[in-house]
Amino acid sequence: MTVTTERKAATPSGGPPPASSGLLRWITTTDHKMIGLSYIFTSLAFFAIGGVLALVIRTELADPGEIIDAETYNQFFTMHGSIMIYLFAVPFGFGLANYIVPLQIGAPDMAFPRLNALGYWMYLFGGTVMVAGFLTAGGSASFGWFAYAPLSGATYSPGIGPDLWIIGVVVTSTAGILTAVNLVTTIVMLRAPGMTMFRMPIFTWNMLVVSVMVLLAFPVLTSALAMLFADRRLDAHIFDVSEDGTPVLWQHLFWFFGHPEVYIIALPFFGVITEIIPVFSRRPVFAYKGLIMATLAIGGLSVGVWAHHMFATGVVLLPFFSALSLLIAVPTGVKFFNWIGTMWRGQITYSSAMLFTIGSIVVFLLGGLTGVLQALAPVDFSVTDTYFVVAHMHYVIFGTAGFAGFAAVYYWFPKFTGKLLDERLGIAHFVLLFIGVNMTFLVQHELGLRGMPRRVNDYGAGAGFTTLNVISTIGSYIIAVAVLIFAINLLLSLRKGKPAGNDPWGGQTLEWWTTSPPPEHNFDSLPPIRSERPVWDAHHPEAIAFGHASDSGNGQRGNGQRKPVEDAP
Amino acid sequence: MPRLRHAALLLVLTLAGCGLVDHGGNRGSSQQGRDIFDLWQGSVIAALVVGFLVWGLIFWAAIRYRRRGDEIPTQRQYIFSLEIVYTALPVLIVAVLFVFAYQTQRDVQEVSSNPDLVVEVDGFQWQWQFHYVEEDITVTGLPDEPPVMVLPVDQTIRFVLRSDDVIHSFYVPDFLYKRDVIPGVDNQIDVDVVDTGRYTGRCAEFCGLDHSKMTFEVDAVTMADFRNWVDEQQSAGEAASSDGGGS
Amino acid sequence: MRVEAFVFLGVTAFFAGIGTLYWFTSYEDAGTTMLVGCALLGMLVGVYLLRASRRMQPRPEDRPDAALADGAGETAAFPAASIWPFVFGLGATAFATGFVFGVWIFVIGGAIFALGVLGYIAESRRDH
Repeated sequence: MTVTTERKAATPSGGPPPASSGLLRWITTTDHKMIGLSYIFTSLAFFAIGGVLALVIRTELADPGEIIDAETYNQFFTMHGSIMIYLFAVPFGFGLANYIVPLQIGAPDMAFPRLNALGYWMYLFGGTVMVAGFLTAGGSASFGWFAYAPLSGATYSPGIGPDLWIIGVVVTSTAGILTAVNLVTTIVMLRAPGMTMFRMPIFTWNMLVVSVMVLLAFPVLTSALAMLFADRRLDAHIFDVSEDGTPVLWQHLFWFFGHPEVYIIALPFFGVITEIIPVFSRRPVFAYKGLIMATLAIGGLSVGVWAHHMFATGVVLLPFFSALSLLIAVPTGVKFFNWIGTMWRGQITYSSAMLFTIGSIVVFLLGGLTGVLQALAPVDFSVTDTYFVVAHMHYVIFGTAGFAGFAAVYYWFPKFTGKLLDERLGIAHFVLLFIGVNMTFLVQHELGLRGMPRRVNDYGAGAGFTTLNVISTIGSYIIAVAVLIFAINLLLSLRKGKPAGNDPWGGQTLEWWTTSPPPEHNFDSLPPIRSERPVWDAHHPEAIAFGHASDSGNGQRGNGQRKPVEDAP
Repeated sequence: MPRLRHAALLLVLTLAGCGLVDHGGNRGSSQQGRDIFDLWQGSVIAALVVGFLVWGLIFWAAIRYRRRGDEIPTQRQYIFSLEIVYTALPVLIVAVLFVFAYQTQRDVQEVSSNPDLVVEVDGFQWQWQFHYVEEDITVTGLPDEPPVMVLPVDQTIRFVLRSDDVIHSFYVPDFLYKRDVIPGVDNQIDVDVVDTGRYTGRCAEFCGLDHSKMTFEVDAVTMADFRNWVDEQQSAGEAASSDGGGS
Repeated sequence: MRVEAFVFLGVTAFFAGIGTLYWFTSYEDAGTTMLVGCALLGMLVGVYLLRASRRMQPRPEDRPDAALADGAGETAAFPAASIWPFVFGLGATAFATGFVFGVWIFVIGGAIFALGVLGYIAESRRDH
């Protein structure tokens, strides 16, 4: 049942029409779809660069003895982490949000289209400045992606590579803040009629929570970076002990940003998982409201646990941070049960998107469990700053930004392009990635437990680290092959992919109502919105979700009676 | 029967967790390390149990509910009692973990009012210097010559941790313990070594170019051997350096 | 708009609570300051949204029984293509690198930045 809406996007008179094609069109676009795709492609390019750096690191670590000199190695791991976190994982999530959120709430665009474009350009230019450190005489920053003081100060990290790193991160983070403002305003102001807050899709809810977290955390980072820059260039001595400064203050500031940052990375991908599982299980997302509460809890708690990265400093309140860090496992666990509950008694189809989604929760689970272990302060005394943490972080990051990121591409590529990605290449990509990730990172737990510290470029032959490192390196090459297959799939399918139509998957949310790709202002018509899955309701009026009195106006009270979807007058 | 089942469960979990339950073979050569190892084992087993349960549910659902035909499955979306249970149980589990962790933390962090031996540890780019305060012995490392710190077992050793340049971390994997050395921060820890032996020490906070070369050795010996070593060092002159001379 | 307001006021309540707990257990300055800052940020947006929601009737997107036709008409102004975000972004980044490279980049970057700011604002005023 469709109703044509007269909602129109007003375009200003006197403004220039969009350029027809090419570079000028790209540079002047304010269309959230084009900007979203720009974010996605740019972040994938940075992912490739960060990945190459990882391969060099892994090649160096396979054997005792140096292939590249220590300074280069230190630059490479610093930039690997920085690129992956600042220039891939977060912007990729924002790119997805940019494209999908307006569609999911039935809006014609984001609330501030030019601000949106500005955010993208600042991301691109800021990221370029950060990486441009490699082109300077002294090379890039080499103090690790968390840039601890005093190491990151002018005395111990001279040169302009670090300064460019600081500027690059400040510019990119400012872009993130602008995007967060845009997302919040869009979600508050541009929802379609009937789309109450508790009928928004979970991906959109997650992006709202992410945006609030960005507003809380990113300004702390930019302030801290300004202080670091002042120390380096303006003799500020904020973190300099010789002049009554406090090195540990850097850690408080950085991790107050840094911990929410990793949930800012994860939550969009949790949202992706929550979009894909219901569609491919042909069920509603289990306990929708509980999921929202869990997301809010994760968002809030994640800002309160920062000093669990500082347990080994001896100067933080251990029980407070340990308790909150343990608590945050609860809403995360709730999400797992929601996902399993969605699959339960479903009719599951294993498209590539669904395979990657299952892969993502399987992988993330291990990372989540090792996270709980580290929340116990005495355990952390043993494993912090060892390869155990490296294993943990890569499991959670690959679980979310990796597997769920690829899942998002397989799921939404048809909507972006009107074509399907090749399923057989998708399966090959998945299998190789799953093998590669586990081979690379599972053994790193053991390496950490045996005492191999992080960020070492070499180790002695007698340390007992060699065999495991060789296995890990082979795994990393397998990951590279998997990513190559993905790149081939992308390029082939862009050219010759099978046509997708509006809704190749049996989608539930509004983006699947419109064409693939959507027209300029997204919708020529909308279905009535009476739940968080209006497209499903429109296609299956006999199969509305039940089990709880919701605010949907046609909620049932568990007696199995179903009312048909209301006709809009 | 319960003991057998308990042992079987432990065996299965250990095999499954490979080196995980065993902490990579490091069971703690110090009293504090042993305490941490106990907490480690308990929490890893708990984590593995939860993990296998959840992985089991995922795989069960993934296989059992594969699509057969076109019938639309149940659209039930809420089961309130279940939601309460799967929220409350994890809270309970983490609460128990917290209690055990807090007790271990207090034991491990305890600093005695009367340590038997005090060693000042100075981390610098990129080696270590150990100064035995009362005995007035200093051992200094060079990048390719890690220093050897001789320690007596069954004594409470106070480490006073200092740095004058950047942050490093004093880490002995066999003690399952590390503490950062931070400019301007007076960190003091107590270690009671239990097992004699030779242990590698490493820097565990990235500190620049030769961070990976900042290793040292701990030689844990009996009290008698320690006394001999002290006498040797004291009679050999004021500042001892690592074998090979030069400081 | 009340749900949105309560999301932000929830932020305030949560961080006020956590911040208080943190202060009285740790007496640590930096963390407490940041937690209090979070509470204030929630209030900034939350109070505004709450007052706005009280001043208005529920909008079509706040009403579960709203019909699509209720939202008919113009929603908002969505600027068409514009060069100014690109210029602004380029200028802002170039200006920022002036802090690294020195005065001459400051000047060049600053000029592009100023151009971008002015162009952006001028276009925005034209559109209204």
